Amino acid sequence: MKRSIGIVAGLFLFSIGSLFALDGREVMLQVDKRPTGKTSHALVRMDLIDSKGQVNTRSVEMFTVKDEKDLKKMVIVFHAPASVKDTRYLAVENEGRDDDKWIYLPALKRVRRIAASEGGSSFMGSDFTYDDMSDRDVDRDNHKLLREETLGSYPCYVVESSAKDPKDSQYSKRISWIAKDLWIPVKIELYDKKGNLQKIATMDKIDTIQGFVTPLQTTMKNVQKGTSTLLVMEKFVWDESLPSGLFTTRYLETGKP
Amino acid sequence: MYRKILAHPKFVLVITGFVTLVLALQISNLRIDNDPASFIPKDHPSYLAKERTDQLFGEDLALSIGLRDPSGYFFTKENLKKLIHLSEALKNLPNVSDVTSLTTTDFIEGTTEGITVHPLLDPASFEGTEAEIESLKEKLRSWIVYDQALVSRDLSAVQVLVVLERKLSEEQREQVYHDTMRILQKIVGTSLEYHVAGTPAVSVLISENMRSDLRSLIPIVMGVVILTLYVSFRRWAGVLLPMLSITIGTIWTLGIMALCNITLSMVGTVIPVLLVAVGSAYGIHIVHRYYEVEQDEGRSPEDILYTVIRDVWKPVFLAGITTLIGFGSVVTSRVLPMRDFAIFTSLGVLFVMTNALVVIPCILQIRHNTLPPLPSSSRRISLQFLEALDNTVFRSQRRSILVFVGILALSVFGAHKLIVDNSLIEYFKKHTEVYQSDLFLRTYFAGTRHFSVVISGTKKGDLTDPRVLKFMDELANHLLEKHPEVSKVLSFTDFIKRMNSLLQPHGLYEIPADPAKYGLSSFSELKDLVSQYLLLYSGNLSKWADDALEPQTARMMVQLRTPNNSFTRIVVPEIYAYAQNHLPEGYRIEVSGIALIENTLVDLIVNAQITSISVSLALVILVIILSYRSFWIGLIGALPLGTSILINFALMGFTSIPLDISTAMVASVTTGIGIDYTIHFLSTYASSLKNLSSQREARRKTLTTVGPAILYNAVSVGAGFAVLLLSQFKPLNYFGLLIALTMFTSSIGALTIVPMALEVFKPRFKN
Repeated sequence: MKRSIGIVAGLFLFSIGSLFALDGREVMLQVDKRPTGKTSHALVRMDLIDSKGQVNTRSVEMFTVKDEKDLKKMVIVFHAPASVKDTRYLAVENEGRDDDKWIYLPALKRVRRIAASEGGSSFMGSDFTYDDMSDRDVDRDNHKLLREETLGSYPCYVVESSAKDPKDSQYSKRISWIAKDLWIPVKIELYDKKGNLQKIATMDKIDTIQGFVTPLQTTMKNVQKGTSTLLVMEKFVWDESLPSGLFTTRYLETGKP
Repeated sequence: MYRKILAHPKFVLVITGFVTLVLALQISNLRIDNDPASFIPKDHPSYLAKERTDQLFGEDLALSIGLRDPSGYFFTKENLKKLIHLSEALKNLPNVSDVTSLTTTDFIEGTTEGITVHPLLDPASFEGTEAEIESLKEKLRSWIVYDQALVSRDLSAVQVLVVLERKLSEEQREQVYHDTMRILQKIVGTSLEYHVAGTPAVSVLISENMRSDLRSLIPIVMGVVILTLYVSFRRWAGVLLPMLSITIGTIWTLGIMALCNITLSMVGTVIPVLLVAVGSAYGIHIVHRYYEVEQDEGRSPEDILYTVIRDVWKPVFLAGITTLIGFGSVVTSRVLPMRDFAIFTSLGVLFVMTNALVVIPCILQIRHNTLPPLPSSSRRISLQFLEALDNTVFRSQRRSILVFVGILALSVFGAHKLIVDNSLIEYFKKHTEVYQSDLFLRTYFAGTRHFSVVISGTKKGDLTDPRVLKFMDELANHLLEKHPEVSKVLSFTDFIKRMNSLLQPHGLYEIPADPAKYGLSSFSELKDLVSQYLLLYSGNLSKWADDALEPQTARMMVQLRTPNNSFTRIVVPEIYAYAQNHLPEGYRIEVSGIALIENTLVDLIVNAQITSISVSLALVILVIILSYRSFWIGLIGALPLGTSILINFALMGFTSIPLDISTAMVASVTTGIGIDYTIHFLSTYASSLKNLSSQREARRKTLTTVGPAILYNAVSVGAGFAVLLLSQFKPLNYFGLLIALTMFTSSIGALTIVPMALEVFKPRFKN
């Protein structure tokens, strides 16, 4: 199983347009095929907003790199809150088996390996789950093109996706509004296992960075709990030259690539 | 006014009929609610505390299902596969937010390199081999949190928790309960024992039994009253006329309850029974007097009717008002079902009384009823009884007073043993399925009752401080060691200790509280360590802490093996006292939850009891004082009631009948009904005293004229309430029994204690 690692990748891929009439799967393939920079480096701020409107801020720095086989490596360095500062996380995508994951806890002063299928659980207590923040093989889902409509200023394909094996997803279905020329989702509705609308993701700000269209701000709203999380790219760079030592457990331990 | 009404009897009847019809149509909208949380005022501190805790950590209202293999060993391939299937099916039910069982729980394991998280039993890959089962058992043994929660100690049984969505209506809860039962029937069938308990199950079953109670008890109590009416009058008009006023009054009451959106709780079942049992008295007086006056020769039908009304309206009205005061005194209670009970029984009494005074004369106006004199056989029997009673009591005044004082002393002693408890599960009889289910879950698991202890700091991250975590841990141990009633304490700290034991090189199952031992230089670094442990739970501890990384508030859940409130009344203050001595500075502690709400309910019941007795006794004394313009007669009039109430509490004390939401109303109901006997006695006694020379003669005259009526009335009301002995709820059985008893004691008291006191104290009756 190809497990995801690109924390933001799913939401931030892009692709070239197509002139042909498409079905749902083809739309999603276009989204998936979008070429990206080989590496990315982002400074991410997350505002967790509870049902009373109180805001809690987290911030992390993220590095990703893709190899020739399109397999990803990712490092997350936690900056805030202070209690988890300098916690570092490494995930390496493998072909045909689960990702390898390690974490360095500064107060523990040790790197520990984590084997967990934590896809459905929350990322740092936010409304994003690990799965929400990663991309998903197109062919793990069945896709249906529902209609075409304009959302805000974007003409969109509206595609419904549901897992081929219901146990393979935390959702019963997802409905995505894919901007036609950008091949990027501008809104996603996520439905829980019982078929009720659970969360809505909206890409509030999409910009072109180094020639690539990149969403810079996303809101995930949990309509059942009344909470939401605002995810803001405070800095985003494609194709930065990242030292190869960055994606190693040694880096996790020392903080030096 | 009466002349106007009687001038247009048909018009009055048509209007009454129309109103009755409209209100009758409302009755089907009456809703039932037996959630103890809706019994106490929404602004009560313990309700607000529960709301706050629910808001932070989610409501933990759940059905508990216990599954047991009769062979004594659950862990077979077939059983585990059934459990997978069952958990899956329950998870898909509407209004179920979560299902917790062996097959839905993650297991965190330490490895040489780090940690692994995987399901305790993975439904997708489980094949049922010996090795898989052995490893499952091993995992269950490895963390104390699972013990008595997911699995019983002897491995014969497993538990499945079906967590309900927040804020469901009673109907939705009933639906979840029935869906659960249906799925259990289908998947488990008879191969395993299964038991379903938990607060939602209990309140659903209370509602169901209430419905069947209402269906059977109302017809029976009507039957009893019809029978008594027929025995007294031996003619159908004598039965039908009082029954009509009762039925109309009861329909109006229930209809208005429905219109006001009042939900019916268990004690509400008593309302119609009570109105039928009590309401007959008013009709009886009117019809009785009518038949008496009718015997006088040479009166016109008009004249008969006006004479009757002139004679009876005052006593009937006075009896109604005092009854209304007695029932109404419960309105001082802050327990909502008791307050509703007070309001609507009072209203009902008013309706039944006015209908008796209006509808019965209207019908008699339209259709005069002439019949032979009343039969006298029942009257003869009661006269013989009264004669014997009078002879026994008044043969030796001194001896009787001594006996009376002896009874009082014994009663005071008995009343001291009175216990207060309002445990929902104790509403049910021991043989009922739900009682047995609750017992099962208490025996094999940690039980179904619990409360939360919530600890808060003043700023973010305060709850990662090892000192406060240590306090939580020590409090948990203290409770477990000191109180066998505490079956289990689950706490935020269990998760931190688990992570500590898995991640540290010599992982100990403890709170990291000593910086040096953990190679750190300060408490602040230990706090960071705890935050970093929390990061690994990736926000899955939302039931235990308010923030995924830097919680300011966290909680522990104390589970109880006992179903009684008496224990929470001891342990909760103790927790606060413990916190006073041990909780680090800058932190607050709050205890909340359903167990606490039940506790509050008990307090409110006791308070209500004290106020309602005082208020009702004071008011009826006032009514008598005003009627006779004598303070002493007022006090004497209250004597039989006070004695009856005291004997009632004594009986409850001696037989361990608890004071609960329904038995707490016995005293006020007794006052409301019992005062009528005294009033009847006093009014006849006073008029007899005017015409006769001695108190003794006045007493004899009173006993022979009004005595039989008082006895009939007490017997018919007592018999009506005794119908509650057939209810499926213990509190209502007790209520019926106790009212039957107080009807006996207060009527006999009116016939003996009152004349005795009048002869001893000789108060003056003014004109």
